[in-house]
Amino acid sequence: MKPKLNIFWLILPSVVFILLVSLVVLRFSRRPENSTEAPAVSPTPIVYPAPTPISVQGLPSLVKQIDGWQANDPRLAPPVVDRKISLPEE
Amino acid sequence: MKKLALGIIVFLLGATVVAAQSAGDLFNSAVNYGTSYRTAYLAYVQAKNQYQQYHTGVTRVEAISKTNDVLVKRNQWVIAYLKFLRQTLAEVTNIATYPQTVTYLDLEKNIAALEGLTSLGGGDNFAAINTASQDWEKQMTQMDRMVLAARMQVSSTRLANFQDQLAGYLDAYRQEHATPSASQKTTLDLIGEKLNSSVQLRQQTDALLAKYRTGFVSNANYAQGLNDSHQALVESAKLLNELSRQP
Repeated sequence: MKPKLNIFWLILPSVVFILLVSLVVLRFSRRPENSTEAPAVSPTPIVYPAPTPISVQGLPSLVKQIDGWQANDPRLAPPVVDRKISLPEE
Repeated sequence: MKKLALGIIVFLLGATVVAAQSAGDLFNSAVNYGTSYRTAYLAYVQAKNQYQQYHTGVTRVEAISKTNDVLVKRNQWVIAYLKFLRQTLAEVTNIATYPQTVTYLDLEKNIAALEGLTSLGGGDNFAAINTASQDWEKQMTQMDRMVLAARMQVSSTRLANFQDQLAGYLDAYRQEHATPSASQKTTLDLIGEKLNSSVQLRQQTDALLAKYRTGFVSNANYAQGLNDSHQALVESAKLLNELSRQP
């Protein structure tokens, strides 16, 4: 008797395999090569990103960006929530 | 069996989406949580007022329900914000490449702690709700310091990037003008001095932030140091821009 072909069970292993590979790639793509090593000193230094390539045309744009920089970036402002939420005594 | 397999697929898909969330996605998510909080807050105020006015069983139940709801929404908004802040740090600095043994500024710990507050929103009387709310609110003082340090770290890193870029333009100008006039040389020296001053001021703030990461809590005004650094950088950048325009 010919076994019944179920398309679901044919596709399932491929889907699971692709998802697992994606997860592994995402997980390890952000780690350095020596990621298993614990840092020798604390605190971990901040390494600044390499500056973007320069061009003569880019200087005015850079000046504008510098001018618009704010120490307290409003986009990073924390939520304004009521910190005294309560109910009266029963 | 099929249901289990489908469940695994949905879970894996969800995990993939979470892992791929950018700071922009998390910002939008935080904005949405903010909207939910504000709606819940208005309902809480209204329910509380109605209870205080009528003192009936119905208004009591409503007050409990709406207060529980706003406590959950408040917590969710703060969690969403902290995740956005964490991802911004990851994208602006190099902390995304840190070894897994390193936690940064306790952001992960605080996010996990807030996510673990499963009893929040489950109070069935006023006293229990008030206790849960106060416990949450007590954590915010320490959270404020952490958030400030994280924000300043992002700002400092962005400023450092600008400084690096301006230094690149300054070097390029010097190479193109190997024999500058006396006037050009004076201006170039001034630009260099202001840029160095800007870098030093920013590094002082970085040193304070590094101390924070080892547990030293300072009341230092991080923003002031960065603003001073920024002022010197603006002057340096504008001078170089003017000099570059001269024939």
